[in-house]
Amino acid sequence: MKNQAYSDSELFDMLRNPVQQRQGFYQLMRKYRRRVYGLVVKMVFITDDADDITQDTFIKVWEKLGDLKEPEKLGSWILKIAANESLMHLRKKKLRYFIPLQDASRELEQYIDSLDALDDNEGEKQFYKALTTLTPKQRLVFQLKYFEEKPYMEIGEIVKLKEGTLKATYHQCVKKIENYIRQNGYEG
Amino acid sequence: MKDKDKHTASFEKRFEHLRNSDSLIPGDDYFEELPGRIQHRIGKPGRSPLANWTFALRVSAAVAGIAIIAFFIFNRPGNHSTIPRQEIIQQALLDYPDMFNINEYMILEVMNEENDTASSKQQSQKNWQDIPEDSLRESITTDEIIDYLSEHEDIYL
Repeated sequence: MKNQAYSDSELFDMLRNPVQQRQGFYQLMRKYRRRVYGLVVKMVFITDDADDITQDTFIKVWEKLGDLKEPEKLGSWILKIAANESLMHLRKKKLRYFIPLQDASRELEQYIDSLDALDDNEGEKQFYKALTTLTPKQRLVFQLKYFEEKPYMEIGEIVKLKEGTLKATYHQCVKKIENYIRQNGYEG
Repeated sequence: MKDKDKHTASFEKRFEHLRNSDSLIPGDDYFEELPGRIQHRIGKPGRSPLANWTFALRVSAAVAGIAIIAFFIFNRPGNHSTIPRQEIIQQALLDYPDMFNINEYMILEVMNEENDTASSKQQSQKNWQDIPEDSLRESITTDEIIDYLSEHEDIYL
């Protein structure tokens, strides 16, 4: 078995081949697990929920392999599924518990405060807490641009928004995060 | 470069060190164990997405077949509903009480007529006005109204 990561087109070929399909899927998970989890956890913040959504994302990827037509879009396609799963999770949670955005944000801020891993990094803690003040869609756009460093065109394919709207949304997110950090006395 | 772009670029630079942070990862072995856990959830070896798809197609075809057969069986000429009329009326009264404009006066009127009919037949019944006050309740339950009207559907409906 090859040690380095497989390219998307190699994975695509393996997934199309019934004999190599399982191995191909295993390699796909190895390649994308950190990116999927990274996106999901910064959408929902609660690590147990992020774990469930990450698993559900890969299961959906497995079930929908037949829909994938272009190997070069494999990464974006997986992230799109992860984004949809995260948004759906947040929507369900909001509907189930009737949580207004502000209360949900406060709840997540408390959760982030309780994370031991962030105890020594006040800047990171403030940054994540600032992210919770964004709406789920804003958070997604910010993540894809900031953490994933995706071009606006690709983000547009994932979130179904025009480039101009995405640019404005991203700028709005940056301002909101900066304001939050300033108000909470952290200058970085 | 526009001011907006300069602003976002300086923001990105300032927090660049957070891009690759691992602080929100649950445990050291998390990513090592993840593919195995997902494969376990996916199920038995040999089960492929294609197999899932053909299975789903077969199930859908079977359900559609049963639905078509059921449609033809239940829509045969002469196969009419066997729900008694009384039940339909009772249900309608329960579901749409406003539509029938049921009120207390109507009930009293019905009771009055009922008493008159009964007294003429048996010649021993009291007029409703003679009924002791304590036996007249302030409210009559919807069920009682429905029961009464259902029994006298020929007159009132």
